[in-house]
Formats: sequence, structure tokens, C-alpha cells
Amino acid sequence: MNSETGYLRVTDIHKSHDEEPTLRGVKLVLDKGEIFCLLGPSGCGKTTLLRIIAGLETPDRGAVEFDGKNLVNTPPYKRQFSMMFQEFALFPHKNVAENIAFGNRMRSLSEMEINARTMEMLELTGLQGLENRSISELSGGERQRVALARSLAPSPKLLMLDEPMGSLDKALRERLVNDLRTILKKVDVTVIFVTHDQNEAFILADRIAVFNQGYIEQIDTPEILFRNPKSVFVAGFLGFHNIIPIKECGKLMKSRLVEVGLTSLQPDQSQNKYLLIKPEAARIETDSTPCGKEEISLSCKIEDCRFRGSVYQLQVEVDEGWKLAFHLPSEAEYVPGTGAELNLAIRKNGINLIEET
Amino acid sequence: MALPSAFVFARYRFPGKSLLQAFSTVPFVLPTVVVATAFQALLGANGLVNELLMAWFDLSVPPVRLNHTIWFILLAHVFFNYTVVLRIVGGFWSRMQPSLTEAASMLGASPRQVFFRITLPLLRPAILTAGLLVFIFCFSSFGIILILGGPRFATLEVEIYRQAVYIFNLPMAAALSLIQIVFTFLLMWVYTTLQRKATTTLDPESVTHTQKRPVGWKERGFIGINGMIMILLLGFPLGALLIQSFLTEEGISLIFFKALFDNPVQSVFYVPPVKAVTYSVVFALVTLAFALVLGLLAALYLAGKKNRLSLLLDPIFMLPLSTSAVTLGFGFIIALDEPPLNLRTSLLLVPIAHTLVAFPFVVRSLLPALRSMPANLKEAASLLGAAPHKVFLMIDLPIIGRALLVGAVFAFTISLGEFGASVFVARPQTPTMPLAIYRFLSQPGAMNHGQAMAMSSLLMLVTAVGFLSLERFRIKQIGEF
Repeated sequence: MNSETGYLRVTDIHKSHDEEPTLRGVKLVLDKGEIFCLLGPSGCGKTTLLRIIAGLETPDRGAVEFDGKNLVNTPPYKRQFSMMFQEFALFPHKNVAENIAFGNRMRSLSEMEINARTMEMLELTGLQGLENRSISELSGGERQRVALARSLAPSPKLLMLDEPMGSLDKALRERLVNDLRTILKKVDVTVIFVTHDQNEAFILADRIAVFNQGYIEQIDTPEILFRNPKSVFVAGFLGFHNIIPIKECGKLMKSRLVEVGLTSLQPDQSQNKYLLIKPEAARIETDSTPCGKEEISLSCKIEDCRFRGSVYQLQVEVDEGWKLAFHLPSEAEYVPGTGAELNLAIRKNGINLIEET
Repeated sequence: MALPSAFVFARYRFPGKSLLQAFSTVPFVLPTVVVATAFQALLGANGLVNELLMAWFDLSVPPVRLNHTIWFILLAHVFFNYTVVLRIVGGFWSRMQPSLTEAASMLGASPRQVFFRITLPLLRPAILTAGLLVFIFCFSSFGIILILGGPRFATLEVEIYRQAVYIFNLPMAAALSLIQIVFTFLLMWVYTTLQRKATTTLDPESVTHTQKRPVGWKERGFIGINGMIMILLLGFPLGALLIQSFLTEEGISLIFFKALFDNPVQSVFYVPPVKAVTYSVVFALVTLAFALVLGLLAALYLAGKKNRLSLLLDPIFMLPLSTSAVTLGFGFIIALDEPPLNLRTSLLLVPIAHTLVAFPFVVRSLLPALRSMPANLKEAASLLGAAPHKVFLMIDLPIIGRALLVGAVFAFTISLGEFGASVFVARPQTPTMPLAIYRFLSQPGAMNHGQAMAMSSLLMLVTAVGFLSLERFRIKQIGEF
């Protein structure tokens, strides 16, 4: 993340649609060869950012620099970027090969070069034999491949993918997302893509930017993002449920948190601090295995306990009134029934502190 | 009359259907003058029916005296608008899911009840729309009434023409035109509102899904009877027209067609009929070019960004469709008769007027194609390195190519058959085919009558060929009015 040598630099982008701000001061830096993901719920502005980078929309404020050059006045057809649209936007009046060749034809390559490149792309995406098909005869998965081949054929300096799996059904998605990763790594291209699907982001991306209402909440590698979400929104979006405002913790709990070293608590500082408790951080306390030094004890009542294959899913209500969810290993010796009251010991390293600014 | 046929077309597949369907469209696209002439040929004083009846029963007076009666006019209008109802209601009907009526009959409704409680209420917006459109067309109908009605049936249209051309009472004509514009505009407004309803109430169902082959003698008979009615109503007048154009007192001959190429009358204003054909074709080609360019530009603008201006322009572009041709033509001669734009004597005036009439049709053909084209196609092309003019040439144009062709045929045939506006703007020395026909009809004598028939046949042939080829290029939805 050497931000000085960024390949693509986006600084302080603002954009409003019909007086509604869609982007509010977005900035990010991409390295060459990186696969970068814009992750967020629908309507958070991530596609708008992509279109601004592509030159299809102009920002109200802010700059897009590429390879040290400001792109503000460069029209999209001179940027040498490629975009794969969510609905693929294949030209219905051209066949597969003509679609793939379009970009190189615009770059006035010789007929031989164009054909060679088209064949190469067909092979890369596993579309050999389909080159003379018309677009309407293709399945959803094949269309996606043609769209990818078309975007890659002119060797773009930056490849943009807008919800690359968005219009495919779920089963197909899981299969193709791995293929996509393989292909992207093979051609060694700089990629920025948009998705609302956390799985896709984790499989494909080197780094992920999480969007919330026109604003980037966090940029990190998938591992860091998952281990250490920096805001309640990010944690929630990644699927974590056990998020507790520290100010709602009882006295005993607070002092215990200080004891294990999670926080050095000043009452006035607890305002924007939250605990994120990972679902796998809990175990049931017994007489023989009481709460240890590196653990925090929670007394709670079991609301529900279900076998979920690899784990038991536990829904509990703790004394303070929060409802939390935990996973117990499915080979656990003791499985509590609904209504049981017991103590849970939470591992210290299974608790994250989220400080919102 | 058209409703049973709409049902047949909507619900059944049968051999010869597409042919019959195309045939049913022909009357609507025929020039009004040709329709009027065709009815003269069939039922007029010297018409085929009268001649046959007179020959068989030795009568000295024509038994069918429809000439200049309201029934004559009505019949011609029914002929003319049959297609409108057939198209609109049939199209709507074919997209109605059969599951709706099936559900009703599962709930215990008899076929009668199903029809009155389910089908008819669902079809109502379409029937209303079609009815209103027919009303608008009849309201602004000019050629038919002028030719078939005679002086007794002066409608607004004919009156405007009379006031302006014969009595030269321009203020009166202008006032009548204004009434006409306001009234048709109101009707058009109601029509567009209804049309919006008709298109949104039902989930569209793929057509093949809702159609089946006829089973049993009842259904086949039903289809057969419908076909007969159609042929009777639509085919006979046209057939009569053809027969009359070949039938002379000495038998079948081409004499009337031959006469079209001569100049037997030594009148100053007389123009050899064949010249009219040339003028018509030239005018039509110029109109085609004008209307396509203007229509394309307008459609591109309307299909582009939605802003206040385009929302306002949309109905304004449709105005020429709702105003009658007579009003248009009249407007032209009073608006363009003074410098700096004194075009009254210019040959260009006719194509310009025709362009105005054809323009909405071109826009309406192009708009759905442009609107249904996803915006990201152009964006994709642009990102792949295509400059804006290349995007237009390589993406826009090929995709709307068929629609453009449809618009072109529209413009061409409309210009060929246009009568109401041409009556005003065409100069005596440069008549178009419909004008020539009208002139022949308004002069006495078998020769003139025969030539009118011959010329009408020619015009009918040209337009019919044009529209039948259009029917083949027709993409779904395009040109639905």
C-alpha cells in the first residue's frame, strides 16, 4: 500500500444526483496489478464511483489521476480502460468474435493482430468454437465470458467490473467466480470491481474498500477486514451480529474488560466504543473449567440451540439484555437445552474493540 | 365487427393467418382517395353492384342508391377503421394470459360468464382506446366525405376546404380550423391517457404461449366465417376497383391505363396523368429524406435525457398526427405566403407539408427502438475506444436500422397517398396521384371515371406493396400507436 506510487489515485470525489449526495469525499489509491474491490450494499454509490473512474460521469468535485496524469478532461474512449457491465452490454447485432474484436478494431490494429488477439481471448475464457454464435444464442454464463473477453481483448490499462456475477443465478456464480479469479491473475491486469456480495469480494480481491452511503468506511485486505472491522457498519455488513456499545456494559463487565487489557477505560471515552464478539469465541463454563485469566464471563439464558452441521448455533440473552449468537463445536460434550441458564467464557482474543470517530 | 376477428387472431394459429393479417392492414394504409374511389367502384351509381343488378334484372335505374348518403360514408369508414380495432384489441388480447380465464372457469364460471366478467372488463381499455382512435380518424376524415358525401354532408373538414378554396373566406376557415385543432387535441389527450392504461394493466405474456390451433368444427367454422366477413368487407371494394379499372364498355381492356399516358384534353391546367405519378414519386422521395432526418434527430433527442423540454416536445411532435391534414394544408398556405418565406409557389411546399404529416410516424417508429436500446451498449463501445461518431455509426444505426426502414416506408407511402394537405398546397401544374384521382372523379364521363379507377389501382398497388414489405420488417412493438 505504497500510496506515493499509486497507479490510480482517486481524491476527494463528491457527486450528487438530484441534490442527493451519492459520493461524499471518496479517496483511494490503487497499485499496478492489484485486484481491488468496492464492496457495499446497493445504492451506496460504488457503481457511481466506477462510472466516474471510467469517465462515463463527471464528479462535482475531486480528481481522478492515472499513472500520474489527471483524467478529468479525457473522454472515456481515450482512457484505454475497459468495463464489464452488470448486464454485460454485448452488442446484439454482432456475433461473439465481432464483439470481442470491437475494442481492437477501434484501436485500428491490423486485421491479423485483431484476429490473433480474439483467438487468444476465446481460448483464455474457454469460448473456443462459439466465435460465430449470435449473442442471443448464448447462456448467461457464456455471455459473462464474452463480456470478459471483450473487456480484456484490447489489453486495457485498467479493467473495471460492475457486479461481474450480478446477473447470474447463484449456483453458476459460485462456479464462475473462481474461474474469474484464475483468468484475472493469468493476464496480470489491474482490476477494480464492484460487488455487494462479501463472498465474491473475498475470493477475488487483494484489497477491499467497504462503502457506506457514499463514503468509504474501511480499506484493507480481506484478512484484516474480517479480523478487525473498524466500524459497526463494516462489522454488520460482514455478517457479525454480536456488537455491544461499551457504555451499555455493567460496572462489573467494564472493570473486567480493563483487567484483561482490552481497554483502559475512562467513562467519557466510552461513548463511541463497541465490543465485537466473534461467534466462535465462547465456551460453556463448567466447575472443572471455570473462567480463565484471558477470558470474560457472561451469564446468560439459552433461547435457542440448533445443530447446523459443523457447529451448534446458540442464541442467548445475557443479563444486560443483549441478544447474542455463538457457535459451539458440533463435537461438544454438553449441549444446553432451551431455557438453560449458564455462564459463557469469552476468549479475550475473540473480542474486538471498535472505536468509531 | 372487428372484435370477433380480433379474438380469432389473438387466440388461434391457422394456415394463411399471416397473409390474412397483412391483408387486413391494407385498408388502413390505403390513401383515403383510393378507399373512396373503391367504394364508388363497388356501390356507386356506375358501380359494379349496380351494373350487375341492372344487367340481371333489366332495370333502368340503379337500384342501390347509396351515393351521397350517410350510409355510404359510414361503410367506407368502417372499412377504413376495421384494421385499427383489429390491431389494437387483437394485440392486447393476444398478450392476455389464458390462465386468467382458466382460473375463472375453474371457479365455476360458464363460458358466457367468463367472457362478460373477465375478458370484456380486461379488454375494456383496449376497446375504448381503439374506439376513440377510430373516432378521431373519422372526425378528421376528409377525402372520403368529400368524394362520397357530396355537398349535403359538410363536416368540419369539408367546410374548411370549401370556405378556403371555393368561397375564399379565409377568416371563417381559420376559425373552423381552430375548433378542429382544439377538439382533436382534446381527444388525442384522452387517447394517450387511455393508451397508457391499456399498456400497463396486464403482464405481457409471450404470444406463442397464448395461442393454439383451432379444434373441432365449431372453432374452425368460426374462423372461416370471420375470414369471409373480412374478405367481403375488405376485399370487395378493392376488387371492384381493380375490375372497374379494366372494364370498359367494350369489355376488358387496358384502355384506361393507356389513357393515363396521353394528354387528350387541351386544357392549360391539364397535366398528363402520368406526370402526376412522377410528381408523386419525386415528392415522396424528398419527403422520405426530410422526414427521416428530422424524425431521427427528434427521436434521438426524445430518447436521450429526460428533461422538461423533452417531456414538452413529445406531445408537440405528435400534434401533426392529431390535427387533420386539411387544417395542416390550410395552415401552410396562410403561413408561408409572404416574404421572407414565400413558398406558395415553390415545389418544395408539397414535400414539406408531407414531411409534417409523416414526421410523427417516423418518430413513433424510431422511439421504441431507441428507447429499448440499453444505455450501457453505447457506454461499452465508448470505453472500448469508439469516439462518439463511431458509436453512432457502429452501434446506434445498425441497431435501429430496421426501425429506420419502417419509418422510411411510412414516410414514403404517407406522402404518396396524402390528400387533405395536398389539396391546399399542391399547385395545379404539379398534382400528385390522389389529386389527379380526385380531379378525374369530379369530371363527368366514363373515360374520366375509368381513369380514376386505373390511377387508384396503381396507387393502391404501390402503397400495398410498400406496406406489405413493411409488415415483414416489423419488429415487435414498433409502430404501435
